[in-house]
Amino acid sequence: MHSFKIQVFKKTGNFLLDIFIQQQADILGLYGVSGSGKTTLLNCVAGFQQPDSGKIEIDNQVFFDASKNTNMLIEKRRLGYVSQFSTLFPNLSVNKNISFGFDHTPKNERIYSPADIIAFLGIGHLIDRHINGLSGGEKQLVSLARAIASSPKGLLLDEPLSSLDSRSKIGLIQKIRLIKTELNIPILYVSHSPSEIMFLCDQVSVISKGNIINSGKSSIIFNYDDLNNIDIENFFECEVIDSSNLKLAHQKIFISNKIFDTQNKIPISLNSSDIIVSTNNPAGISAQNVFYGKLIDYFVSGNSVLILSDIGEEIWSKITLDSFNRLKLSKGSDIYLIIKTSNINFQN
Amino acid sequence: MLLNVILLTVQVAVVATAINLPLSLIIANYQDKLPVKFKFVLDVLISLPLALPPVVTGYFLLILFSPNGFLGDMFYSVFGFDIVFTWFSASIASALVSFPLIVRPIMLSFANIDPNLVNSARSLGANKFQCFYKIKLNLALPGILAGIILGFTRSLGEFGATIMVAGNIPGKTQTLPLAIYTSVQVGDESKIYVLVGLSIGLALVSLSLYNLILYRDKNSNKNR
Repeated sequence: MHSFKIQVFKKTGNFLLDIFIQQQADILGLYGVSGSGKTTLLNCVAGFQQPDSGKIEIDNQVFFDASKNTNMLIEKRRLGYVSQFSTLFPNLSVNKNISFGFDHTPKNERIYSPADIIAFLGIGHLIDRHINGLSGGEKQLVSLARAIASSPKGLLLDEPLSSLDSRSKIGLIQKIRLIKTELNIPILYVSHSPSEIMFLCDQVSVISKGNIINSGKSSIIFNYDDLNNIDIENFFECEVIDSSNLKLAHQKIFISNKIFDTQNKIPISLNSSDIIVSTNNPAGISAQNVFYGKLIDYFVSGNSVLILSDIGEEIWSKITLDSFNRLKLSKGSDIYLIIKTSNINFQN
Repeated sequence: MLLNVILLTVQVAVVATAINLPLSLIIANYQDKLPVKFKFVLDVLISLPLALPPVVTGYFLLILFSPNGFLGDMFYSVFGFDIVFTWFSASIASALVSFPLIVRPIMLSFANIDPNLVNSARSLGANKFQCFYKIKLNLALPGILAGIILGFTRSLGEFGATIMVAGNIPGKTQTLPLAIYTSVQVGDESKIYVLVGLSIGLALVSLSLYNLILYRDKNSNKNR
């Protein structure tokens, strides 16, 4: 857990930002509609804008303190910043973009090498590409890699998913969760999407018209009434074994006979509502694909529960609250996911 | 003689461009930090040489740099010689007249740089100077090159301000336009054709380079 203490007072024209946040979180969400002041607040934390008064502190590191005339330079703060629009340098290759932060980090403060980060985020196939040739999701992944390669004291993510398609969104959410669990970097995550906050942030502050109007655990703050309408599409890249089998998360996944004209990986998707959840390894069923895994996390809303499981890859499934209670599921439960062949969607 | 004129013309234009370039880069880099009122005044001052007859610009320079002038006196006390009627004064005259043409494209290309790119570079540990030469200069390069070529081309053809402050001394301050003027005065037609041909050739090469840069920049922007 990381501590976030942010007190910011800033007047810009007629808009007044008057914020007080004091929360402990791995990822602290900052939720608000457009124009609520969340990006201005993030800019103050990053040092792009200067508050009129206040104090900004993450994990006991003071970045700004008006009472002591402390205003750390942007480059000294070392807070990795990723915005909704690509800020990759178009004059540099992917590799050089990622190395940029590393090269400007004092040698004694370097924790992650570009090679480590590239392997960690699985973007080795992108490093020789030109920025202009990357998709939106790939650009955001490279932006994340570049920010992490500067061994940041924190990550500031300003709606990084808002301009992505659903497939890229899920991929990036999984990477951000990976950063949270593996790298232990405090993350301030700004979004106007309750579902993003719900999937990523353990704590949230809700900002409206320049003020914090609510804060606490994201599962409590949000009434996920609209979760019934959320269906998550799980996207995977599967190796082709033969015309009847693909490889997903080191296991075979059976498909009806299909001719592939490539030996490369095949993109598939599985809808969260099409996956059946069981606590026992089922026998005597028609479905041919059964994956064993562990339940990592779940989100309850109304009569629906979204379940995040680890089967070697992270995968979302959605069941009713009644089923969830009946199966006595909790974090760490052993589960089996049953996937009908007809529910496998081929992306190409 | 002809070679001397060409070399002197290029020398004057190169030095004029070299005087203007750093000043243009500084103004372009800090333009967004200036208060709006000050920026308005700066814009007017920058454009003034475009609106003024070059002879008027040259007249002001002559007053400033003459031995009794403020800058002329200062220059003499530091370097021990008069600056007027030297090739360097021709460079200063060319620099002043061509300044709007070099600074405008550079200011425009700096203004088009996404501030988020600069903020990102700083959040990654680059200081202001590193942001300037690693990010801004690279991104503004087409505008910088265009400005250099436009300014250089204008300097090659500078006449009015130059003749006021540097005179028309063969072998010392006589640049290509001044040599054409002299040839017309004395009626040396064969020399006029050669000099005019050279002048047109230099202008065509410079403007072709300028258009090539604009074309390549437009195409690279399309691909972004």
